[in-house]
Amino acid sequence: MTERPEDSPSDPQLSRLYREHATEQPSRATDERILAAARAALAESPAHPHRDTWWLRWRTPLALATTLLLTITLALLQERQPGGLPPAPNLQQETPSARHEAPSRGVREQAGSTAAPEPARPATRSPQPSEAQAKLAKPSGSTGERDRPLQSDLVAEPGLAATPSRKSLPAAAPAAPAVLDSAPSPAAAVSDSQAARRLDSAPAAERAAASALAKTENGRSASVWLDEIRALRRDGKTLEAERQLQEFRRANPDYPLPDEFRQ
Amino acid sequence: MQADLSDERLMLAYCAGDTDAFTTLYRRYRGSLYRYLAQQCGDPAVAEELYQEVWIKVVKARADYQPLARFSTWVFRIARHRLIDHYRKHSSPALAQLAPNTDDQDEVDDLIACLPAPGHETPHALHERQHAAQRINLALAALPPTQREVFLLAEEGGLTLEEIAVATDSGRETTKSRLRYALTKLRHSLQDLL
Repeated sequence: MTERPEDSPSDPQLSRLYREHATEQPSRATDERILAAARAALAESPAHPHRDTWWLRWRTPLALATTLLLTITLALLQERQPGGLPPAPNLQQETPSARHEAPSRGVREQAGSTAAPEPARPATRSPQPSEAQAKLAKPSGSTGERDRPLQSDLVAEPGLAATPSRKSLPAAAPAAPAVLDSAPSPAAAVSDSQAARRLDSAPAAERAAASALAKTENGRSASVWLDEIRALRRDGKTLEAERQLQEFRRANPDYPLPDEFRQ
Repeated sequence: MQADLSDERLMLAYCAGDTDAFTTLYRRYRGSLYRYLAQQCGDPAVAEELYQEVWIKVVKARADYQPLARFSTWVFRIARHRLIDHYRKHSSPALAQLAPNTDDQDEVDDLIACLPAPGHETPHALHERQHAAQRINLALAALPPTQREVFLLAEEGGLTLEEIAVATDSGRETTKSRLRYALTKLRHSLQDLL
């Protein structure tokens, strides 16, 4: 009982009279029922407050940890996926060597009718496409990873360097899915027949890559260049046309030449 | 040892699993809480039922109990809400008086008609109670519910004006005014006993 403030109305005589005669009490039975209920309540659920306390104690740290983890994960993902296209000079620096070191099997197969640029290489380089395919055929967690090879992979692996990214080399887009779609499941990777199929699909990819690379040569596409050579021939400038054709071959050794230029 | 502990510490001890703390606490408020309810509702049987429900509510609410206010304020507030629920269920006219934001109507004669039947008018009660107690009860019953409530919270609960104001959802000055009117009327009714 607290002391009443001075401005609180009071009547000590009345209070004493009231307390002298205010003797009503609840029954003993009611007392027993209430005390029994209080004991029973403790006996029934002693663990509830503890469980609530545990959850309340860890709720905030868990929420903070989850938020932090998500933030870090998103930041790392953003870091590994630069938003823009890879810089063009890098691509141009890498592509000649890639083209030089990994000649297309398709072009080599066509070498029966045209002069093969480097006939000694196929024996030593032939395993490369299969290695490249094996890399593509590695079971990855998601198709997104398969669709987006890292730029560092392109640089480090010449065979893969010829495999264009869909973003940077749109001309290769129709052919690239054939390569990627041919990448089998882990179980199929051990099958010989499917391995052979992958080897067959490699030249198509390389041709597509070569044509895509040729498109950027000298700022004009290979087809435009060939049209210009045709025009020179039509105009009777055969020497100039031959010179242009040789330049074209040097610049695009893997580009499948039309029949008219194979003579 | 537990007799020295405050009400709030006893309640916290009970929340932690000490049933003896609850017993001590119960004994402290046994008479005052019961009389508050009995004087307010006017029926010992109903008062006993409400009294039991209030304590069960205290037991159930132990997990959420926070000693932010005095235990007496908390438990009498529970009792008041239970009383209002009772009035609401039985469509008692006293509900209009106890509900928040009611105006002070200090004309005793106008309010006597809507008061609940006092329990001391039953033959059993009349037989047991002394004449003075009857007079006191009659005087209390004659008070408007809001004034009676303030008087009982001050006398039985030992609450201050501020605590009564909180418990009854009213202002301090309103509470003070009600208490002053209650004391004046009781003194006038019980003048020959003082």
